[in-house]
Amino acid sequence: MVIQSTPATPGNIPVGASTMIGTAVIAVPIMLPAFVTAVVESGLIYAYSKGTIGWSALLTGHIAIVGLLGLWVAQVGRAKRNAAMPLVTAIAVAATGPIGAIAALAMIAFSRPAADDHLLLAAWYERIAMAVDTDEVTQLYDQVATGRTANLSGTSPPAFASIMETGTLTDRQVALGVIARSFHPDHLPALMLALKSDEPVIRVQAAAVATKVRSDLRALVDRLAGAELQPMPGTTAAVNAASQLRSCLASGLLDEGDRIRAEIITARLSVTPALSTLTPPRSRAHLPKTPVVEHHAIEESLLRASQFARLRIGRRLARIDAHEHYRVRRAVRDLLPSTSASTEAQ
Amino acid sequence: MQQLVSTTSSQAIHSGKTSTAADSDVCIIVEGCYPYIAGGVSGWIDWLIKTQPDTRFSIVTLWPRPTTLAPKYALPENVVSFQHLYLQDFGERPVIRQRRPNNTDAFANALGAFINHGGSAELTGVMAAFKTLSETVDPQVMFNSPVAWDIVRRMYDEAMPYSSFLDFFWAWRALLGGLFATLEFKLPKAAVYHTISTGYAGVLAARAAIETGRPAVLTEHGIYTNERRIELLMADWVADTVEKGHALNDPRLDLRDMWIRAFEAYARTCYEACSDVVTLYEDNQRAQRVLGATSRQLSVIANGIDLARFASVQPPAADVPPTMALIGRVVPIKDVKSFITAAHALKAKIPNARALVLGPTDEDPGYFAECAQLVADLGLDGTVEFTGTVNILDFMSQIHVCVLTSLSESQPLVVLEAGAAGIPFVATNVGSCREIIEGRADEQPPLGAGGIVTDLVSPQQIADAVAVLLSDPDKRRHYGETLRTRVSQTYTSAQAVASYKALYGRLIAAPTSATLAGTPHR
Repeated sequence: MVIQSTPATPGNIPVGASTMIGTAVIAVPIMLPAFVTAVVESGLIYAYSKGTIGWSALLTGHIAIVGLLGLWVAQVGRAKRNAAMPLVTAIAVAATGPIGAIAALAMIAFSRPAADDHLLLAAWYERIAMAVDTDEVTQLYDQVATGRTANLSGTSPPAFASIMETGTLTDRQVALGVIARSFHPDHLPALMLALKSDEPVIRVQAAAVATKVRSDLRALVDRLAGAELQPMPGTTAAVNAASQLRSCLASGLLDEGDRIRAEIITARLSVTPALSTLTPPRSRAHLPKTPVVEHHAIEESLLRASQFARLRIGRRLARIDAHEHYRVRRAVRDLLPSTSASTEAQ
Repeated sequence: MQQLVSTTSSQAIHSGKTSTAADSDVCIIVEGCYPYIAGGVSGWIDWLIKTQPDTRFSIVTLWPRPTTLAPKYALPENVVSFQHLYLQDFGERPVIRQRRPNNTDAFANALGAFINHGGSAELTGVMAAFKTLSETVDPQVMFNSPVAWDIVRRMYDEAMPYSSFLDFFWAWRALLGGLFATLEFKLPKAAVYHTISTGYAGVLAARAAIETGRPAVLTEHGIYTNERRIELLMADWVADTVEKGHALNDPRLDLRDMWIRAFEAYARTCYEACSDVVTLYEDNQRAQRVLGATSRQLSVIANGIDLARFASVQPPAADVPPTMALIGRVVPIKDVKSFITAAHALKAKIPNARALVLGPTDEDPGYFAECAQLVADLGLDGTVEFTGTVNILDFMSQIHVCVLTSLSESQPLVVLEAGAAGIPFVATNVGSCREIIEGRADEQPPLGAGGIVTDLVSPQQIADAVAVLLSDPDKRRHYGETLRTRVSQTYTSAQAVASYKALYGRLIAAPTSATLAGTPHR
C-alpha cells in the first residue's frame, strides 16, 4: 500500500524522520554567473554604442561569454548536479545577450526549487526505506538525532538471576525476552531458575526460550560445520568462531550429537594454540590427557595444513598418552616450546 | 467446576423461547482453527457443538485472509450459520478521492486510548467514533485515505516518537487493519456470544456484548495474551529500533511494546465485557486476574473423556519389557528430544527398557529428522521406536508408564486417557498436569499422587521418575489406580457437557442489557 493521495513533504514528515533531511540538500549556485554575464554583456553593448569597440569585438566578446557558459554547464553536468537552469541561462544569453542573462536572473529569483525538492524527498525516502547503504557515522547521527541510542544515564539493570527470584512478573517476562534474543551462557542460571518458577506463565516462556536458544545454537554449529566454511586455525576468524562454539558448549543446551560436532570443530579451530601450549611431560603422570575426538580433529587439521612435523609430534604424544613405550627424540624436543623438563617418558 | 442443569434453563434451551428473537442461541467466535485445523481447540469446539444438540449455533471464524486449508470437520446439523472474518484484507480497495471528514481527532484519540489501555468504555468510544466517521467515508476507503495518514501520524507522535516511523506505519496497518475489520464485520444475531480466545475474537465478542446487550462468555484453553507475548518478546521479525540494552524499564516504547500492549488491551476489553470467563484449570486464572478478570467472572470447566473407551485396557503382560511411552505429535513443543535423552539415561539404569513415541511424525519433518539423528547419536536404535500415527488403544496394554515432556500444554487429554486406562504418568509441570496427577488443592477426599511431576527440559528427572515406577510394580499399580479414580471422579465428558449446558441455559435466559446508544444491530 502506498499513501498516494498525500505526497510526503517536509511539512508532514513525522518528527523521527524529518531530522534526516538536512544531509540530502543538492544546490547549484546560478545567481552569480548569471549576474556577471548580465553585467559583462551590458558593458560590451554600452562600449559598442559609445564607439569604444567595434562590431567584431562585440561579437567576439559575446561568443567568448557563451563559450564560458557552455563550459560551466558541462562542469555542472559532470558533477552530476542539476544542469537545467545553467543550460537555460546559457541558451538565453546566446540568443538575446544581456536580456537573456537578466531574464535568467528573474527566473532564478521567482522560481521554486521544485526539482531539488523532488530529489530531496527521493533521497529521504531511500534512506528511511533502507534502500541505500549509509556509513556508520550517519547511522550514529540518525540514532542520536532520533533519541534511539542506549540511555546511559539510567541505573544499570539488576542481575537476571535475581530478577527471576524477586522481580515482578513483567520484569521476568521482559528479561526472558532479552535472553531469547541475545543469549549468552552467563544467562543460563537465570533461565534455569525460570524453568523451575512457581509461576506457570514464566515456566512456559522459559521453556520456549530454551527451545529457541537450542535451535539457534544448533544453527550456529551447522554454519560452522561445513569444512569449507571453517576458517584456518590461528586466524582471527578461527579464534572468534572457536569462542562462539565454546559458548555453545558452555550453554549446556546442545543435543548430544551437536555437542560432539561442536567439540570437534572447536578442536580444529583451536589446534595451533593447543599445540603451542604443550610442554614436554616429566613423567607419565604429567602426560596431557587429550580427548580422542580432539586428537582426530587436530590430526585432520594438521594434514590439511601440511604441518607434518607437528603431526608427528602429536602422534607420539598420543602414543605416550595411551601408555605405549616410547622415547621422545631430540628433534621432537627441539620443536616443543619448552625444554626444561626431562624428555624421558618411559 | 461442576454444575447441575436447572430445570428452568434447560427448558429455555429446549424450547428455543429465549429473551431475544435470536437467529441462533450461541455464536461461537474462534480465531485461526475450527474447522480447518484438526485436534486441539478445533476438536473441542466440535465436541461442544455435538454434545449440545438442542442448542443452535452460529460460527464466526477469524483468519488473516482466505485459507487454502480444507475443512477437517463437517459442520454439525445444529450449526445454523457459518461466517469468515478476514483480518488482513481490510483497506485494499483502490483509493478514491473523497471529502475529508473533520472529526478525525476524536477517532484518533479513541483509538489511542483503546490500543494503550483497553476496556469496555474505550471500545465503546472507538465504536461510536468509527460509526460517526463511517457516515462520511467508507471505512475501507478511509483506511487508505488522508484520514488514516493523519491518524497514524498522531498516534506515532504521541505513543512512540523514538521508534522508526516506517516500521510503526506497517505495524499500525497490520494491527488496526484487524481492528477495523472487526469493527466493520456484520454480527450474526445470537442470544449468547462465546469466544474461545481473547485477541481479535475477544474484541468481536466484546463488541457484540456492547452493541447487542446480550451476554458474552470466554473459554480460554491456553492464555492467548501470554502466547502472543512470548511470541513477540522472542520474535526476530519485530524490528528493535530503540537501543535498550539489558534495561528492563526503559520508558521509550518500541514496536515490540506496542504489539504487546495492544494484545493486552484486547484481553482487558474482553475480560471486562464477558459475564463469564471459563478456563480448563485453576492455574490459568492467575494470568486472567492479572489482566482484570474478577473472581465473580471466573470458573473452571475441565475437559473430560469417555471412560468406557478405556475400560477394557489390560495391564502389560509379564513378558513385556519395561516400557515408557510418549503419546503425541513429534513437534518441538512436545520436546521429544528430552524424552529421547531421558531414554538414554533410563537405559543406564534399566538396560532392557523400551521407549515408544506414539504419534504422527510428518507434521515437522525437520524436527523429526533431528530426533532420529539424536536417537542414532545416543545409540538408542533398539530402544526408542517411532510408531507414527496409531490407535493408542492397541498399545496401551504394552505401556507401563506414560510420559509427557511438553513445554506447553493446557489440559492434555492424553493424561486423562492414560489415567482412564490405569497407567501412571510422569509429566513436566505444564498446564494442568500437576492438577490432574496430584489433585486440586480442594480435592475431597485427597486421593494422593497418580504419577510424578518434573521440571521442564529435565531429562534426568524424567528418567529417574520413570525408573522409580518401572522398578516398583506396587507403586506403579497404586499410582495408576489413583489416577484412574481421579479421572473418573473429575474429568468425565458427561460432567463437562452438563456444565456447558447449564452455563448456556443461564446466559440465554438472561435479560438483554442496555446497548450502545444509536448503534443499531448490524
